[in-house]
Amino acid sequence: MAADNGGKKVAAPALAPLARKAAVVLRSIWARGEGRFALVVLALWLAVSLISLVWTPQSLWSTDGYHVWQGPTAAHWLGTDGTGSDVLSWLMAGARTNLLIAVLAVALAGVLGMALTAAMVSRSATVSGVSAVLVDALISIPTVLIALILAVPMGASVAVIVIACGIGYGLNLARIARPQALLAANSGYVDSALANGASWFSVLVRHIMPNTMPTMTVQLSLSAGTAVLAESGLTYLGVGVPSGVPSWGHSLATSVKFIDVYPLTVLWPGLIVTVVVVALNVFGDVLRDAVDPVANPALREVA
Amino acid sequence: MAIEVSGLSVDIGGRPIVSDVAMGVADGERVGLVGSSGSGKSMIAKALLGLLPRQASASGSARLGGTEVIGADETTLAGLRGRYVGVVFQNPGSSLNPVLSVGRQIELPLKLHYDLDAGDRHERVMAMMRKVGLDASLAGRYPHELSGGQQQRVGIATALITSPRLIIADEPTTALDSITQRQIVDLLVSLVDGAGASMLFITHDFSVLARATSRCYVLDRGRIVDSGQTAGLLASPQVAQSRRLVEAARKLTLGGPDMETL
Amino acid sequence: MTETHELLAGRGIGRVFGRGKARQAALRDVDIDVRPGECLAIIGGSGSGKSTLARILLGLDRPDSGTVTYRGEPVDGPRSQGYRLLRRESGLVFQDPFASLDPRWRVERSVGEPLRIQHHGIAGDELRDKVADALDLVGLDAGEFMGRYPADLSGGQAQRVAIARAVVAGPSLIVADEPMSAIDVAARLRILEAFATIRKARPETAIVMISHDLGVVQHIAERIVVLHDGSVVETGPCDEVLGHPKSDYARQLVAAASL
Repeated sequence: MAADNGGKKVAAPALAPLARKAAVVLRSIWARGEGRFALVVLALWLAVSLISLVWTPQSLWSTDGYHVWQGPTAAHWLGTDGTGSDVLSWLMAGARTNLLIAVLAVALAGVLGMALTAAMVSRSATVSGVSAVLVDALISIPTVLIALILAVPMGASVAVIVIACGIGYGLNLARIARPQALLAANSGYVDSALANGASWFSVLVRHIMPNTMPTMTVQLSLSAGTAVLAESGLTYLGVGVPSGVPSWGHSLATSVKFIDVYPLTVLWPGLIVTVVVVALNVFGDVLRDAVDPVANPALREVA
Repeated sequence: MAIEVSGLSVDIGGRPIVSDVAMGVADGERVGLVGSSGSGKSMIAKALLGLLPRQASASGSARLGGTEVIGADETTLAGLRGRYVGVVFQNPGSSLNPVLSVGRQIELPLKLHYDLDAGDRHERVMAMMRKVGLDASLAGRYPHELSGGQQQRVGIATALITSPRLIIADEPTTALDSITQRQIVDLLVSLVDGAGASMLFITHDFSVLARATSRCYVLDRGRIVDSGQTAGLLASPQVAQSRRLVEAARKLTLGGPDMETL
Repeated sequence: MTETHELLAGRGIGRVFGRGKARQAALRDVDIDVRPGECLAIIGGSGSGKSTLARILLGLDRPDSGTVTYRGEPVDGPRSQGYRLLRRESGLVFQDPFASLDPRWRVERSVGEPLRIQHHGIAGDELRDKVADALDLVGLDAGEFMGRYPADLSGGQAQRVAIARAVVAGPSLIVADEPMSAIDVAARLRILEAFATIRKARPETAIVMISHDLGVVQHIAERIVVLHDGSVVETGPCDEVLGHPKSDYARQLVAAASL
């Protein structure tokens, strides 16, 4: 704000409001029961992912042919799988793969979705028309089909999941954000900015996109949850995470065949995926209400 | 049909919107409720109709023709609404159903409250359209094809088709231009008087109030701060809030005082 | 006439909407002048074409016939000289203040927007001071209102913020399209006062006020143009139009604005 003041005086007041805003946002999320649940689950997910990089209870690669499909023991809290590996260690390591996939898929979906939304509200009738038709046409292709096509040249890999989900969710995001973007594009404040000589690009960046943020927040959080589900599905189909790479989908896929005999081993990854997906679905709503100054009066009061 | 309100309070999320309001409208009387936006005047209308938002809680008493409506069940309210109480809304563009033609729109309350055959209904709709000054050829048109003034005429026809005994008009002219405003107010007054019904007219504008009502209540921050004959209030307002509203209205009409004299 | 005296001039402006059977003339052969520093009211009912005329005069819509000039330069598409001058030297006020303020921007940012667009690099105290001046002009306390969001303003306050935004860059022309019809009667006075203050503080700024109500423009308009069904039916000094309306339509308007 006070950029021309220079010196230390500027840095402190410029940073402080941001920190205060963050505090208000966190408090607003925490104030709601479902927000607390989502925040705890997501924080745990992040923490476990980081820890798994340096430590897991057992090495992922220590197999033990004499102790396969074990129930919980002191050495293996959640038992062992079909190769005798520690289930808990694999689930912990899986957390980081799923986190990576969710973050990258959401980032790709966000960039693609925003670019398409921007194109759809373009002043040029050609650009807006073509992009709208494109989105409507492409959105009918299921994410799974995109993944299967990508897997032909790429093989099973994390990239297949990220790209397939990113494209699928990005298209969906654009479709859902479009009405809000159009509303903003036709608003008086955009008219006023244009009448003052603002360029369309600056209006897009400063007015239109920020006003689609409530939708984007909810939708991207939902997408992160769907990406976790998609990882499980695609890995089970054999086009997702390659064997040997830990992921929740991998844990599910290797144990689900024996669900009749060893149901407990399937239970853990299934439970984790469910809890995380529910947390992400809830988180979007709570986050939107917390970060949007229109919806959150406490945020408006931060000077 | 008379309105008797006493000790009416409405809270939304613990915030008082209407506080301890007492007011009355006698049979065949036209009474105004005037206040600036946020004064709670629309909330009183909603409370009378049992249409308060879900988060709102109302206490006190409001009787329409002797029937208590605060805390009344949906059957009681539905029996009143449309049949004995007609409502004219502020924005006819959004209070009319966009997929119903004008004729069907006006006919709907008749279908709900009366057991008439199609021919009778059609006849009544046509008669009503003539009364509100809508050409019969408009019956097949849809709301978006009409001007704001025509839309509000449809709104009035819909409110009056069942011959209600009470009309609640919530800022019926605010969205219209000045000439149309005048026509709509005059139309409403003549129809209400012709039917011998009573009317509660809600507005922020004293100059409209003067034409529409004989008596009025001034609302400020949820409380009644003044009441009396509309003409008297307009001529010499005593209470500060009334004076503010009256001065504004006078200054914004022709032949009123200059900018500097107020 | 050797040089143009008008700030903004429209000649023979026509505009048609729709095609085929639905074809409807919104404006027919309208001539209009805005002189430097004057307050001109364009009066008409809904459907009279007054808002369309305003958009055309501002270069935001193109007429099907006729020409618009600003400072003698043609306003004819984004590349024309008149259009560019207009963008730099005009401010706009709309009917619905909440729709015309970005709900996610604080008052300070909204009011300062025209300055940031037109004077690249303006920032800090200079920007703040000008925003504070503009808020002061419309009767809003800068210290109290700068940090607020539109959601925490009343309709009248929001409209005055929008007026502050229109005036902040020191325009030669302010166009206000029904700035009071969505506002309470009591708050309308504050808005009228804001315009009166602007007239005094910035006598070189012309104001075009579009309204359906003669009552609200009587105190500040010097000249009135009455528009009906897309045509100018009457034009003249304020007192004359109010006191001795010549056309039937103007007489109706006068009657409708009297108590």
